[in-house]
Amino acid sequence: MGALSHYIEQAGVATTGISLIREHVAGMNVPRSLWVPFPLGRPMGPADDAEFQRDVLRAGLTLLNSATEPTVADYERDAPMGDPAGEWACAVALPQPEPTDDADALTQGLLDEVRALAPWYDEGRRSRGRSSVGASGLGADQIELMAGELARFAAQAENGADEDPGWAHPAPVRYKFMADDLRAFYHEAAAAQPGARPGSDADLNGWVFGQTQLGEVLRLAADRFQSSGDQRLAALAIGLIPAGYRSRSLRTW
Amino acid sequence: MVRLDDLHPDMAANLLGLELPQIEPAPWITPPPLAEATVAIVTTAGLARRDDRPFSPGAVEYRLIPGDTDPADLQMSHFSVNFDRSAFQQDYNVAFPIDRLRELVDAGEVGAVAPHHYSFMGAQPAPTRMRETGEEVGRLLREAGVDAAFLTPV
Repeated sequence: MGALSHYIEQAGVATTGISLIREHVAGMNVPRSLWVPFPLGRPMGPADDAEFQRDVLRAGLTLLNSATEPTVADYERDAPMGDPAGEWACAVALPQPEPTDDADALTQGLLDEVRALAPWYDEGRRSRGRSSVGASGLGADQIELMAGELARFAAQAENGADEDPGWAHPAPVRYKFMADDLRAFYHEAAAAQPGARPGSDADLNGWVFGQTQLGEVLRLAADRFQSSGDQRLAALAIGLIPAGYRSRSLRTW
Repeated sequence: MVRLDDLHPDMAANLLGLELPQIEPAPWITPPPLAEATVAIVTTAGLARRDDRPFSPGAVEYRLIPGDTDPADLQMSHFSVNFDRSAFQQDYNVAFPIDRLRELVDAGEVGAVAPHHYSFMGAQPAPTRMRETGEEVGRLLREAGVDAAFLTPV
């Protein structure tokens, strides 16, 4: 973010914006930046809180006229992230995943989960009017195809589809984006369910990587990437599983 | 609330260990008063229109987000999984605050919304690789009469 700010200013366009890592902008002499105490992924604060987001935007834009030298301003207001009291749980009861590396068993287990969550994914898509599934190039109407492809890859089995259904990336990069699409499908299904509060990032990661077949499939896929002996493939492993949910042998970044 | 201390220790160590490039600043820019300024959003959230090319790992090029894009058609193809994706899944304004910017224009606090916005993929281990495309975006913004860019990371 800091480098981009400098590059854009070279053309004579002023920049301001959000910093999530104060140490980075402070160490790069960025012209104007508003550091916010929000989680990574939430630069404007809470979702669906227009008043709060407007205030953050206003605070960042105000620096355009108030700063006269490189400035990192601090936004001191904490973002309301909902009532953290009470346990979050996925309201749809999914079968406990059985450890296996058998391709058919993994595929079936993943398909069972996807089918159980599909009504809530559909409801989330309807209520939000959008979905973030699609980074692989395929839409949610092909989520079962993605599940099958990823499960077979994780089990080191041959993949079944001969024809390209419209992947946005070549293999093996496409498996990273299938993983992202499946996680998005699970997250959006979980968010649409009734419950005392929405799941936090930690709740959702704890659920996916601790209680679902998808978590098992992603770990096996990451292992396959990492054990390939190819540095380029090994780097893809870290794009499958967030830090804190990886096996110890995986790099952090 | 999360600060660096609240991140997973591996993540925090990695973020603090990144080498920060020292880039010669441009001469100080004094933009017009905000109520007269045209503002664009430049995000590093790895967003692209659904019918555009998604980002590939390591990509340093940009994606254009025309002002008339339906934000519901924005797709995230960021390589990193080390940030809260559920926020963008719930509300695109968390990373791409286009509705908020329009509201400030409607309220007379900001002059105008730029005709185009831009998206990059952040979490670049060597951010100086973005020099060419970053400077190009700066030129394109200037050519479009944009006074200021509001940058959002994830």
